[in-house]
Amino acid sequence: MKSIRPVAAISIALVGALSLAGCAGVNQEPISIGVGTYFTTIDPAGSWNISDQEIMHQVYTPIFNSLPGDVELQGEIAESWEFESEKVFVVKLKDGLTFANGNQLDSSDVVFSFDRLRGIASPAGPVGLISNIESVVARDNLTLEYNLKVVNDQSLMALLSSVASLVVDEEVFPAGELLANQAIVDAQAFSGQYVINSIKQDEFVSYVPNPGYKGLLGTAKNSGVVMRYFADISNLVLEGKNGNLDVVMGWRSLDSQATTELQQGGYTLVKGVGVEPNFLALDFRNMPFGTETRDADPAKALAVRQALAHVIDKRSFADNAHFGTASIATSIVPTAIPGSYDAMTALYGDGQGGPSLDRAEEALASAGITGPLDLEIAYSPDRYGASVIEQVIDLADQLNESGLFSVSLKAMEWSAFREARTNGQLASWHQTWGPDYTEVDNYVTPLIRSDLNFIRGAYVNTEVDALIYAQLSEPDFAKRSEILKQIQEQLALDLPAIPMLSTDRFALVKSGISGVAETFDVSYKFRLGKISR
Amino acid sequence: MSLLRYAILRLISGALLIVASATAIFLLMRLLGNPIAIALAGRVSEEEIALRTEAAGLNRPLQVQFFEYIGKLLGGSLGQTTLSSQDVELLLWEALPASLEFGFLVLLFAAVISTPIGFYAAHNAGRLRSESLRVSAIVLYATPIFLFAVLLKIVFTVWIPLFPVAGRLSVNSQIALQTQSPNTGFIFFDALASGNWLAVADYLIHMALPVVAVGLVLSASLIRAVRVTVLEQLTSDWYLETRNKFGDNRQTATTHLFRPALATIITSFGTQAIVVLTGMVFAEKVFEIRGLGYLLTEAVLSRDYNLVQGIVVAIALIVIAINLVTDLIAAAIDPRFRKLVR
Amino acid sequence: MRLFSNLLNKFKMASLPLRSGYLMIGLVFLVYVFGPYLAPFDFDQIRDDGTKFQTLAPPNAAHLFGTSNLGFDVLSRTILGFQPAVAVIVISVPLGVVIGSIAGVLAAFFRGWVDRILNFLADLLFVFPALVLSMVVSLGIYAGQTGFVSGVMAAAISTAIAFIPKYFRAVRVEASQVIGSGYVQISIASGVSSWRILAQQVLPNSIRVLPILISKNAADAVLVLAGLGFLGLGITPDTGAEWGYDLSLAVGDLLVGAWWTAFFPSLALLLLVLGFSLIAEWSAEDSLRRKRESL
Repeated sequence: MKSIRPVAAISIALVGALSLAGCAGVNQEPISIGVGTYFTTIDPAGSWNISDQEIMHQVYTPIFNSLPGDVELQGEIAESWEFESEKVFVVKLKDGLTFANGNQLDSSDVVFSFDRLRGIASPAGPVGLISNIESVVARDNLTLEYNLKVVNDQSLMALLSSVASLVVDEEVFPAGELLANQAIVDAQAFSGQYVINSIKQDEFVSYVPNPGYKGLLGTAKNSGVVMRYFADISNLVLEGKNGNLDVVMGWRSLDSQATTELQQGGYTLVKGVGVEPNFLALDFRNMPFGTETRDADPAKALAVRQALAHVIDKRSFADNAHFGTASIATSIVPTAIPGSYDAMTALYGDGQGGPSLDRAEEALASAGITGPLDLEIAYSPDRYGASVIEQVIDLADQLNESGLFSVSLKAMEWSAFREARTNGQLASWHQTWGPDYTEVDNYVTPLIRSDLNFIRGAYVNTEVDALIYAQLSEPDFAKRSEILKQIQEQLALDLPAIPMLSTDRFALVKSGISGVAETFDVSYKFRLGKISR
Repeated sequence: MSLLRYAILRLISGALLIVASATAIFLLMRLLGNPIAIALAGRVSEEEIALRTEAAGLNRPLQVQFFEYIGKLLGGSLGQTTLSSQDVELLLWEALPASLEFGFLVLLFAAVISTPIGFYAAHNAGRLRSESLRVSAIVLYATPIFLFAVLLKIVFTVWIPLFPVAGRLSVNSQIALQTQSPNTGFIFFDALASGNWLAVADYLIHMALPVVAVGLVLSASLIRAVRVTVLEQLTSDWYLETRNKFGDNRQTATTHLFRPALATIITSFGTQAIVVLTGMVFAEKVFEIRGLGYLLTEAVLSRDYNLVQGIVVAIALIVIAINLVTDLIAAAIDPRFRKLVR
Repeated sequence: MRLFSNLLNKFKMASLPLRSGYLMIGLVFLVYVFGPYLAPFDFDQIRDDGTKFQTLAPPNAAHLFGTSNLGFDVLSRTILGFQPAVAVIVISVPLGVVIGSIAGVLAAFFRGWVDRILNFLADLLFVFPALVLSMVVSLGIYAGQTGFVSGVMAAAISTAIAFIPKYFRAVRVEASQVIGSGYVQISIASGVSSWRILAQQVLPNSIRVLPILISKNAADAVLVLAGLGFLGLGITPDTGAEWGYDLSLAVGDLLVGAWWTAFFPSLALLLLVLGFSLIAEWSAEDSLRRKRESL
């Protein structure tokens, strides 16, 4: 027997509030958003899938948050905070916070959420992100003590603004297992800017503003949002063409033709700033002249990587496959992230960001390499959308045309692709990485540091590792940037991966709808509250 | 034979058929491979597959696994999905209402259209209009349903945007229905029961295109069946005699034309059930209606062995049940339909 | 030579719809045989002489039927699509006919328990829709990779299974009559071995009714193959040319105004299915009509 009272109560309160307020700037019609991906669970301990995160960020609160368009982190439920000592970070919460169902939100909920995430340890969940936190203790009902493993952890605040720090209602969520979506909605265990009043798996999620929300993001600028999920992209495009959607999310769904169609139908293309690294990764063991091949030769392998960096035309990908929604990457850290440094442009290609066939040939020749090199590039067509498929085909063409390589593409189903990558079975592959939070450490530590090494190309450079540890603990940002610069310069020389693009979400927005551009900021969070008619 | 005897025999044969179907499905699917191997081939290493196969108890003798399977089936359980360990029957129960309602509307539509047209074709047999009707029926029947569905969709949602693109109900109506009292998943019933006329209309508009897509193709064969039966009747001696005695009036027509025709239509439903089911698989995909066919397609695409097996058993059950019911009804109406072996 | 003049006679006596059917299937046969020579490009070819084909180009001089979203030549894929389609027919029909006819003859001859069991088995096979069966079969045959052979086999086997009961019933009825006839009864009485009677007298005379069923079988087989492809199973574009799969991709093209990727494969599919359906539907009519006329 479902308890519909909280939902009913809120709906009535909302209708009452709205009718009292009259039309005072808030248009009655909810915003309809069409999405081509799908969601799995809205339990924060259960997923770090980007589509799920999109939902979670609307209805739960993290410790810190940023205003759309702003880089600086401010307190969401935190009143004040400081590093009490090198490894202890203390946060004081705001008083009087509640969940939509009336339950109190205090430090015990925060500790509960943290311990629960670690306890459930779902492989699909963000538990890996909190590995640098030793423990969280509640000193009193408004004070939290974070015990850290890393001295002066500079990425801590960003981590505490991410999906790993979302606070759940301890009186609703079970400690040892995930809670079903409908149960969460029935219990209205939400503290964010919105609550979900109706959810249907694989079809839609309906949000209404949370009347009790007093956080950083302020009042929502719309009366509600309905996100509609489409399994079939052509249906998404059709609904857009018929004008039934206010916003059509293009991320990993729409290709250039569908986008053009919608643009002709009166939609405007809005894109994000580019926070997803899109790169060609190489496994140092299996690549041509790799350490486990017959003619192993590190010097030659390096020359091969250099040749690739010289000859790849990134502009072509940005303009064609990604039809202007991506920007060129000059480092594994996207340009939009503070701390990013361009060490590649001067070293490779024509020196201005374009390719150079001559220098590629030279690099190979001086290493004594002749003839087109066989190279197999693996990719996952079902994971990253049509643009990436086109990009990879273009990449193969470019390399084949150059005469220096003979490329064969290997399409692999996502789970097989991930498995093969992890087990060192691939020579090279294309990868796109969605950041968990957009702080520079989230790009270097998980991707490059040899114990985590998400790229998994068997790249080990102890000096770089040391630098990575160092930057994480450096509180002075100027000094930190200097360390990061050194890291990126070394990466540009070693080339474990060749950065190609920085991709991001993009959307097609109907005329009369505003705010989407503002929410496509560097935080990589989609704030529904910004969108209005 | 008497109706009662026929009914009993038919029920027994139906039950036997169900058991045989479940067995056949089990054997066929095991012939293809074991659940773990099929679901995970190419996704994890061979050693991993072997490990998990052992862990799932799949290396035990086949009879043991078979009896366990039948035992579970009799207890109403179809096992857990191979990929996400959810209860298969739960997923089926969620998807079933959508398909049942869909099928019901299709049958209604086809019956309403075919009967008058079939009669018309029979009365005007041999003339050009009837013959051209036959040709169009053939063309319709030959058109692959998925093609027809796509065509309808493109014409009536893109070029002439009259109908909604996909789904059974608009989001607003769905939200409204969720909070109202009967929530069985049968949208039509729920909406009617709670007096939400907007939702009823919304549902019918959403289902219009898919129902027409499958219904028209079904009509093609139903029209032929009606036409043939009515023709037979019209030219049979005893009908002509009856007509001479009692005149060419409504009562004659009803008793001697309509009833046999009705019996034929009803048995046709039985034989055409398979065509309708196949059509529904396509229509559910094209119009994103999350019923049994949609679930099956997803299950096969993701290679979820147990889910596929469960759905096929459910489909077999439905087909057998439909044929059983139609046979019984037809036998009740017309004594000539009381033979066990046709 | 006699076969040819027989066929020609049949053609001359046929009614209009039947003639159309024969013509269509004749065309299909030609395209099947000469297809690989007629098709200007390969089914997965995206470049010629080093230049890549334009993607989604409308019909033009270089590509008479235009190109698809992935850059394939639509004309070539339409022509080469006949290969798997005819292959399915050629495998499915004999499979179904042989099994169904032999079972039918056995049931009619031996009666009793044999008859009842075979009837039950036929009812069992009747329960399963061919498409659903083909989806299940496609699961196992390739276990991970789609392919030409697996796609064809999945469709062929399931259509055969779906038609075995139909052949069975038709042949059983015919065979009963043949067995009851005079000369067969004499053979039985004079002690000729049962198998000889079945093989030489009953079987050949019982399959007269089959051509119509065979036409329907052919049409259905192609529909199942195309249906499988439309759902995304079976033959994927990189392993072969198959209209159903191409049509599923073409839906997206239609949205942006490209009609040629959907139109031509549909035409080919319709040609094949309509051709066989017309033959199936009007053969019975025609022979009835001729009998009436000759009386």
